[in-house]
Amino acid sequence: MAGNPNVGKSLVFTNLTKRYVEVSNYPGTTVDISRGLWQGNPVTDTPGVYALNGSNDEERLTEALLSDADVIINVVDGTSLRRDLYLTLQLSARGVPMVVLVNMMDEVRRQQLQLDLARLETLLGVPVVAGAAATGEGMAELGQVVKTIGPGKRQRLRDQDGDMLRRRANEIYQAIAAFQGKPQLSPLDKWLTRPLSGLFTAALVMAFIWWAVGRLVAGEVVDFTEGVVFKRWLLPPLVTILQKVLPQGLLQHVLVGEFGIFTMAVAYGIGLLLPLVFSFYLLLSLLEDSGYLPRLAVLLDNTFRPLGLNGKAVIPLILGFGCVTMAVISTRMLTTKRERIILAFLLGLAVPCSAQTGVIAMMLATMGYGWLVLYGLLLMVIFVMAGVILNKTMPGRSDGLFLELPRLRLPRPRNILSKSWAKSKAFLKDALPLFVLSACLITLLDYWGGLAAMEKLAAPVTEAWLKLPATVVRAFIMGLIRRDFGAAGLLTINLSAGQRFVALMTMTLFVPCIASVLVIIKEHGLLMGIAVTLTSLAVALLAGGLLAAII
Amino acid sequence: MNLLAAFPGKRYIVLKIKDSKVRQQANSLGIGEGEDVYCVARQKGGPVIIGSGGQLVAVGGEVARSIQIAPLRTKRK
Repeated sequence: MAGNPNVGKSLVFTNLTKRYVEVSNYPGTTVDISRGLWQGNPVTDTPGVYALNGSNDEERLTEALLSDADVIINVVDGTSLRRDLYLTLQLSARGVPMVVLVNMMDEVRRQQLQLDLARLETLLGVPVVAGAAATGEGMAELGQVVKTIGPGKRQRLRDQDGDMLRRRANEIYQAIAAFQGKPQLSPLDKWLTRPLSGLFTAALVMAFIWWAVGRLVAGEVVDFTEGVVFKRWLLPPLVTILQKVLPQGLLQHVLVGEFGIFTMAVAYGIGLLLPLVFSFYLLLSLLEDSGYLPRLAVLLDNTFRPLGLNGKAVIPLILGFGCVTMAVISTRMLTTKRERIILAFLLGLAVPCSAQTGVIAMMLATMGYGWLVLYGLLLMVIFVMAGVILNKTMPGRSDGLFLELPRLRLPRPRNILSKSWAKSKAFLKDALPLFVLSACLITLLDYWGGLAAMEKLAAPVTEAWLKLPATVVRAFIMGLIRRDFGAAGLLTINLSAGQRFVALMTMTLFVPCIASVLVIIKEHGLLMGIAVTLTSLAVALLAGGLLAAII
Repeated sequence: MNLLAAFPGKRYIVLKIKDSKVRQQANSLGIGEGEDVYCVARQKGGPVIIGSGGQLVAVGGEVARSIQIAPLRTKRK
């Protein structure tokens, strides 16, 4: 199944496959694809693309998937057929049996557009079915056509000649459609894209996301799933049993020790991360399906340009204040690798997640609000500086904003729920083994006295450079596992106000938590993970040391 | 003139798109060279929101600068 973004392709897909949907991360790429079964045959929902020019991950992946296809179902939006025909022509040039599903016919009729689909069938040389995935119209007919379909007429096209393809698409469109009126911005659209009202709405939406994920889910829900379900109901009996059955020693530590597989990796992955991941996907799908994200990107495009990013970067960034790990995953929505790397870097370096901000805000506020303001300002300066430097030094060029604004529409709850759930499951399947691995590593480190040795090793840095007591190292290492543990760990150490500020600032900039680093490695490779970690370390120590000298 | 100088409410024809990557994108979005587009809204320095064939497309400042346009006086059917 192939088509442009926002043509209702995923709704057609859920309509056809009903169940058996599996979302997976295609090897070597960062693009999610869904697979399902329809009439006993495997169906693959390829990512929405406007063309097959191999110019981004989505397009390359779609080409690869199409080369295995026995039949191509090309879903097009009846209300933007002129645009969609470009891809249709590229697809039909492949010579694979193909059917064109003209979707959103309900909207076509509502807008009183005249489309001569019989003529379209003749001109394209492949069967054309009218349908509306939202109401199920045309789905049965699509099934019939797919069964009987034979090889279509191969369009004679010189590859890659975009100008010629566009002319041909326009000719076909003019032959089958009556004139369309001027597109207009709806009043809601005007409200959302004008600077003043738009920023106001954006602030509200972001505040809601921050509250919902950072407070409601990271707080209330996780308190229950991790604090009650795991820490009170599941783990105590399990720990008691395993401690009785297993001999004292390493194995026991690995399974149920302080950083054990069950006590940390599983409890952390399922009790803490799964609710966060699911709620993120839920909100993200809501924003995606409603068509709000492109409006937000329009609004903030200019703000992000000096950092080598375009307006689309705002979404992962805001998510980062909830959870950096999830935000790194959502950088996938950016089109070039360069932008994804810049943003992942900035997220890892200078965006404190909700787990930290709570503890940090509390500690700073008790010292006086001046410190809190100073903290925010310093972080912002470092964020902008790092972004500008990355933009200047990284090879290549970031894409400018070039973005379709799909119609604003009310998302369908069923679609959103099934999408979020499928993606959460896929995430867990990827992440859990990594958590288990890191739990093992940390346990071993602790068991063989590695933590204590590190404290000693780091003493020159902590005591001489940062002017902090050596014991803060333990808090920093704890901070790698869970940010709030780290910050809270500082509370127990006796520090002066200045020392406390230095410690907090250094910890915020310090290496991102293990989960974030693992996700950065998964998305961008080991080298990138190491680069982010080392840079964060260097910037944190540099800034901390300078602060220590000044304060 | 380039797209950044377009006035909201006016129709234009796309004359030339210098950047090949932008041209490819524009073609697949249905606003390639020779198309007529309608300026729907514009922020100073971009983005410009243009309409074409029933859809809306937002074009960032840098991209808009590389799209050469000319005012369209007679309405084409």
